[in-house]
Amino acid sequence: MMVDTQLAEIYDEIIPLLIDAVVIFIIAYLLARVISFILIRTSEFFGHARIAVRMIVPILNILIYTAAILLVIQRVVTLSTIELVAFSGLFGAAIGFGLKDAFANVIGGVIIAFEKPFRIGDRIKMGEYYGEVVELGLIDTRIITPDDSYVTIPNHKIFTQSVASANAGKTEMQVVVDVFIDHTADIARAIEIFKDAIVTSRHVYITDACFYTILTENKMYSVRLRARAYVWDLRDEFECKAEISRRTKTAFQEAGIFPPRLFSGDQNA
Amino acid sequence: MSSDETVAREEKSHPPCIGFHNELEKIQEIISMHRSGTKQNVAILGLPYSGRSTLLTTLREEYKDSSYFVEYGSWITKKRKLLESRYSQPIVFIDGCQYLFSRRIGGFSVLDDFLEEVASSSSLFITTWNLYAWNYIRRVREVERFFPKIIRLSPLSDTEMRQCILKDYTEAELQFIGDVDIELPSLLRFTPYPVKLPWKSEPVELPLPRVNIDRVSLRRHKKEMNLSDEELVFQKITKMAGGNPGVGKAIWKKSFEYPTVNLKDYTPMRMPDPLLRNDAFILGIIAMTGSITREELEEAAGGEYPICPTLYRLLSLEVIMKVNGEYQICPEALLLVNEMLLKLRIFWE
Repeated sequence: MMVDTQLAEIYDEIIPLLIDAVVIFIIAYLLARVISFILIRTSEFFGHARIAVRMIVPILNILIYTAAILLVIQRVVTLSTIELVAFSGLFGAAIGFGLKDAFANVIGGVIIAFEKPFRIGDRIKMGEYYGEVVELGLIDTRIITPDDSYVTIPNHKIFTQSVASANAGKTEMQVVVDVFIDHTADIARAIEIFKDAIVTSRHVYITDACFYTILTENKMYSVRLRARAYVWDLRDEFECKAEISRRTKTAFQEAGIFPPRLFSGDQNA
Repeated sequence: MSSDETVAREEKSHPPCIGFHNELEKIQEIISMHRSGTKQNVAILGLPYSGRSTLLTTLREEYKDSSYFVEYGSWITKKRKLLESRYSQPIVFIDGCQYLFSRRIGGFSVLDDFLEEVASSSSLFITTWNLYAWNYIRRVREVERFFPKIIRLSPLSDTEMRQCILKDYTEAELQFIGDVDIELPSLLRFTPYPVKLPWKSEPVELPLPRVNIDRVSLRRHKKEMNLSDEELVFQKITKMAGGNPGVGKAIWKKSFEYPTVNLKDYTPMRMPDPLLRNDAFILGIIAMTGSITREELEEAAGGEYPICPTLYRLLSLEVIMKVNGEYQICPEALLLVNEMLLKLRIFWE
């Protein structure tokens, strides 16, 4: 008789609540995915405002999942004050013992979403990894490295590691291009060609704030020309460097400006 | 196909200049100041098809006894003495200065020579530039230091657009079908206003709100349903063309089937997908020059990628057209191209 009562209780109360919880989370998941998909696709039409549009995605995700959790708690748990205190104690102990990292990740995710140390689309260096942020989740951040590896970084790393963002939420970012020429080469002509290669690049963007500079430095076996310029879309960072280098090299060859005749082991030495 | 020919126009009848009264007054004032000893070279800036050449031709007619007129129609490739004895006139009008440089390595030497001679000459230089080319070259060569007076062409009003388009027709010839849904523009419009800041060398342009007084009367007319079909048609054309006479004429041509003008079926251009970056860059080069050959485009691409697929796509989208072997932006696509390439930062500000 007792067993029948317990089974009836499970059928009448617990299973519907579980089904409700599952349905709420599935809806939240689908909603978050659909909104993310639409915003990320739409962001491509916004040109240089792309990153600003994409930044809405993690904030919306947090809001959707928080709303889902609150909805489930409201439907499943109706606690008295004593039960609430007991539940909080148990919850705290659970976090302390087993869910510490998971909880730190969630807190890290909230901080990343609201404090914005980096954003979706930024080029960041965290620990040993460098790449473009493609997803900001509640638990982890995902980046794609230049060699196309998909790296998942737990959000709690933000508390223990410094993060370098190459563009700080902007679409443009600075690139550095080095070329080396022989000491006997016509440096003035080389600088003129290098400048032209930069300002005519299809990737370079020049404004009052995004200007370009060319520096020269005498090395032991060569003269280094270093250009700092802004690429108008950070996704073209490597293509921009490669394009400027290629075109400069071709123009140097045509102008009789030769590379260093003698190479040391370390050009930066 | 590049040429270093400069063409001095022969005496001939020119279309009358419609609009640009403020611009003409400003330039006349600058010329009087030059005669009294203050030289300030002028750069007249405008989008493609905005009427830069028409304005300059009007000025040339007015000052033909004391001026020399040069028109560049294609890229000037060879260094040459730009200021010869013929340039001893006190005023030199130069149309199409965007052809003095090319966006490629080594493509600025003629412009450098030109700027050097502008700086050393006692003549007053009144020049026209494609706005996109100007915005690019001012970042690369600081041309605004040589041309301190910058005049941006203002868009035509509905009445001016009507005059501009109808000057080739008689009133009796045309029938207007204006049953189109006109969305009246807002009473406020924003115009760039240059403001000098103490810590910046060049003026910053702030959007200054202005009341559209002309449109107030149109709004009242609309309310009273007093707008004729003809007024509606030209109002719509001016709005769709952004006041650009060349674009307005192109829209007119598309909707004109003698003797009827019907805007009902005219749909503004839309781009189905975002442009690829290489395509956008080539489109930007075409818009910046106005008219350019395939060989020049290949040089601008720097041998980095084939431009054949790009040209095919842009032609098939009817964003560009081929005229006498050279590529140009289709006038009716100009505003779409402007919006797209500003977003993609192909056009600099």
